[in-house]
Amino acid sequence: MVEMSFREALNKALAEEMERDSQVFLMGEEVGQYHGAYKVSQGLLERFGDLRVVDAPITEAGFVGLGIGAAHVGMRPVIEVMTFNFAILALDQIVNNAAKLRSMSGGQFEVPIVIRGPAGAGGALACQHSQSLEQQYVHIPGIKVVMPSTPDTAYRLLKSAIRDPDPVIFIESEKLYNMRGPVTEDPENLWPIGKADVTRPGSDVTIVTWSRMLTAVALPAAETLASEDGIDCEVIDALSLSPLDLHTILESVKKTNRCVIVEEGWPKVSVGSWIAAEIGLKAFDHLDAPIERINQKDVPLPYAFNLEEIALPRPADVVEAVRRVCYAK
Amino acid sequence: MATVVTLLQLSPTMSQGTLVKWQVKEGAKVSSGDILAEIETDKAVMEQESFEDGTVLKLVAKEGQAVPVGSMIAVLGEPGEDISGLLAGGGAPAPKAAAEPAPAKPAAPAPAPAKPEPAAPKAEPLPPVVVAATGAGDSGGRILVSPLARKMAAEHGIDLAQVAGSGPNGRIVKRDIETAVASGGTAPRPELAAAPAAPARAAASAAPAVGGEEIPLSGMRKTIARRLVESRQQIPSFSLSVDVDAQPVLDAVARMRERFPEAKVTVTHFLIKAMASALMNHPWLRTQWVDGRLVRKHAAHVSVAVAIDEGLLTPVIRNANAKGLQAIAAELRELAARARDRKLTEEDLTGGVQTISNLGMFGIQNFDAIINPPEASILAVGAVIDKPVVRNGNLVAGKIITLTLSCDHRVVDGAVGASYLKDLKAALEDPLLMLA
Amino acid sequence: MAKKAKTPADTSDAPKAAATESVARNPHVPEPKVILPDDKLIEMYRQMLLIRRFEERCAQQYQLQKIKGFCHLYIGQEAVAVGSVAALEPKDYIFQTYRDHGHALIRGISARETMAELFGKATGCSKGKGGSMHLFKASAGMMGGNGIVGGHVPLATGVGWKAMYNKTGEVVLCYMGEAAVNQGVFHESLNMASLWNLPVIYICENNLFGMGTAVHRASAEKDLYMRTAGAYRIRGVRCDGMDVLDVYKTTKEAVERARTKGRPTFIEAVCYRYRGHSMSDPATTYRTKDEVSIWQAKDPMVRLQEQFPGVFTEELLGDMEKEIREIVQDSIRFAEESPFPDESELWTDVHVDYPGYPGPKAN
Repeated sequence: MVEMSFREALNKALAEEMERDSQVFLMGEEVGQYHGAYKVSQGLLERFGDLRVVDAPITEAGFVGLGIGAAHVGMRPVIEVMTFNFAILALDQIVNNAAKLRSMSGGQFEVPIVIRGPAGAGGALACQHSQSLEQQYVHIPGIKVVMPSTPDTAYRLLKSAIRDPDPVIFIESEKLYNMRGPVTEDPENLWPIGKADVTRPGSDVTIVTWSRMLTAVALPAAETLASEDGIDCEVIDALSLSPLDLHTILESVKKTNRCVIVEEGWPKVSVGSWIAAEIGLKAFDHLDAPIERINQKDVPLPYAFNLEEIALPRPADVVEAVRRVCYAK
Repeated sequence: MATVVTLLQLSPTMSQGTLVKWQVKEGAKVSSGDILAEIETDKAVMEQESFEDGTVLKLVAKEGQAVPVGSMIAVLGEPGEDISGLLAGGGAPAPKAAAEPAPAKPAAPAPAPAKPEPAAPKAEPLPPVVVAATGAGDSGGRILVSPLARKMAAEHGIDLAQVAGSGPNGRIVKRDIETAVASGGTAPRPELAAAPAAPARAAASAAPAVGGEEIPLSGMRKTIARRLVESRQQIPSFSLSVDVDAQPVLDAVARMRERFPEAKVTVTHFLIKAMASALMNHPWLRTQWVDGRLVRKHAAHVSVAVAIDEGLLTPVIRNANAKGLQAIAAELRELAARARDRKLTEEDLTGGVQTISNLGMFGIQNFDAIINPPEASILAVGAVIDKPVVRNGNLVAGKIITLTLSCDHRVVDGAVGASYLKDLKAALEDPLLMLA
Repeated sequence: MAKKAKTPADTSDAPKAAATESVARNPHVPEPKVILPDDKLIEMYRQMLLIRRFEERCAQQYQLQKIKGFCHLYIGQEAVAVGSVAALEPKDYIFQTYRDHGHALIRGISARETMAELFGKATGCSKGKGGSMHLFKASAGMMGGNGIVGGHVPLATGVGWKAMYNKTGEVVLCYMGEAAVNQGVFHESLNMASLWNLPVIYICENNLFGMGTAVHRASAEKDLYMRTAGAYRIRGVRCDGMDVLDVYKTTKEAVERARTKGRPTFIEAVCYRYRGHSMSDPATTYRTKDEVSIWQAKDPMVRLQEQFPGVFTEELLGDMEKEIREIVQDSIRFAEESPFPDESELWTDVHVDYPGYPGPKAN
């Protein structure tokens, strides 16, 4: 293992995959001369040239659509959206083309594109730039959605996403780019899409989470509960939201009989609500308490620092929820 | 070879079309692509083309006629060809029949309609009414228990009513069952307060087996309880519901009110009159099961459920079929007043053959009433509600009352009750019939 | 619905110039824009007739409820598809709108596979999963009909990107209706195609109406081909979409520029659909029957026949009509007899199967 930042891990994965396959190219706003709005593509233009590291005009539907078009004739585009807030402009291309081409052509085409970029609260960016929108994509059959939580999973999942034959929405948390951690040194040690990680094994309650919530909220809460209440939390990092590793989640809930779902996004019709429904249906007889969900408050995220803080999930919210489902005081 | 021209689906939502105008005459030669007729669809007047070359042998559909999609509208073929088979087989507008040869002869006569004899009353014993002791974890009669605890209790044969719940609102959770198992099947309720994390709330709800304040039991309450338990336990009852178009009755009530404002006639009075009229034509509805014998009554006396503070009474309007609406209204008003004053006599309260119970004024749409023995049936009346109804294939706003007839199956069979309800519905939907 | 166009098969009793080489052309008939060998002319005519007859039968099969859903017929616009596809090489790509039956029939999809797809059968070109609006054939560069107005324009641009990136010399033809030029992605795509020298020809079939909205009611610049030069430095040209040779000539030039210089072109082909927007549109509220008949008088098949009276003899036309009729009838029989997709097909082609893919049990 070698230590590096989340951003460096993504950069390393991109460079290695571009080296490996000439059909991989990176396109997006400011990915070239600017080195990426979040510096993920630092040095790639110099290394691979402007045909493979392409500065696109600010035209999300256009260049995402172009990427889909190139993908379905055999290329492996990595399309960077400056943030997923802007990818809303390209939603028609993603939903009506990327997700549909394989099916509506009766399997004649596949669309091996990666659409990646940051999402979620970045710190006082106000409501239009702070959204967690993964549920938009998880809802759509025909596309895959992954959200890494650490430098290691970022590196290993991005390589899987680039090699996957289907469109993959690869969502990075803006606040994780500087996070440092150990990363595998084996370039073929990929993390399979569709597999969750039991980050912290435990016996009393299952906490399901993904992306930044893992290290920012779930794991600190688990530590507090272990030391203050003697409650042993099992923390599952979903990593891949579609396909979702429901098997790992259900097995854990059957063991612990309780579940708390921690999600940065809003509560209504969310990924967490879907997971809760699946557990309610498939592990009903194993539940000893209602499934609790911790989400961002159901409001556009305000700019004011204090309001932003209380709108987002915090470890204390999880601690309280776990105590409730464990019937502890 | 003659071919049948069927009405095409000229718009995706079209189910029938009106033949506005034929563009060809019988005997005319047509080729594929020629326009045969103008058809009015649900959207526009459109043209139907011929798919074939040939001579028009017969224009089956008439101009102005509405025809379902797929029905024969014309026959094409060679001049002089015999098409009588096609025409006979298809009939005039015979949907989708064109491709199938017409049956040579009607087969055996259609089977007689099934005998109006529903299956014998199911002899399933009614489940005994069990009033569970109010244990901990009880919320309005329900025991709150987590899914897991419920499953564990079943596995260990533990009676949940005997287990104290330590979760929120006294919910029985996994650890309560574990405690119960450890202590030999029952959670030791008296020690509940000492249970490790039992919230105070749960302890408070762990009341004695019969909690709450005892209310004196009135004679009327006792009678109601006895008679209705008797009814439920002894009468194999079933219910039939029917929606009645209430508009005609509402119109009639409005006219009565206009003409005789002081009579204050209501839908209920109409119903009593209609019930009595229909009862006269349905002797089984006037028959009662009395100690293993069948006893038929010859008068249409209608009992009317009247709610008073202390309970429920059912005074009887005698020979309601022979009375006018004003008389019924006046009599019922007088009976209800005496009911409230507790001045009804034994005679006022006996001799009915069918009871009417109307909860429409509370907005209840429909309900099952419990039969008032020895009567063999009871009619439950719901509110007049606005509801879309289908008339002539179109959705229109309608006024609907749902009537639910509960019958004693020892006396009244399904088809008999249904037939009565059908007549009742007909009378209400055309009140003039009551004069017939 | 308008009476069908007076195509040659219907005009056997009409006065016609004698079928000899020496006969002069009718002076009212426009000069051919380009002279091609007879066999090429005949093939173009044959393709237009195939589309015309196929679409007429589609209408019937729709009315018989064998074809369901949305069904957009190409009758009247045949010259655009035939003239432009004739300018392509086999390695090139084409993208269509949902009005895609005609392009499919002349670009690698058989009448059988097309009709079976319209019937929703397993033997259809998209296995019955696409339907009328989504006819695909990867091996022929038939990149499908797209149901979102303008939604496919960036895809075509992306295929142009691939051709440029890999220097394949392939050219992409992207058809669209005239309403698509008001969509954002149209402009986004043209901007990128010009910026990066992509070999894409955007061909706008201006049939004058976006559903029922006339072009002058929807587009501030009514001369659509004027839009692209100033804004994107993309050459814009207009051709007569009722003239197969004009379409051919115009497209051919654009294809050459794309292949040799990598420059995109915007072609506005002015044409007319004789039928409604789709099978549910009687086309009665926004245009008159007179207007339809004026355009039918410019029918592309009649024009080609009149331009080359010596080529299109009565015998040739009669034989061709018979041959096409048999092809179309056969396609209906084939579609009718083909099975619907197996129910297990519901779970295929969603994405690549992966270990643990839940399949039917997931729901």
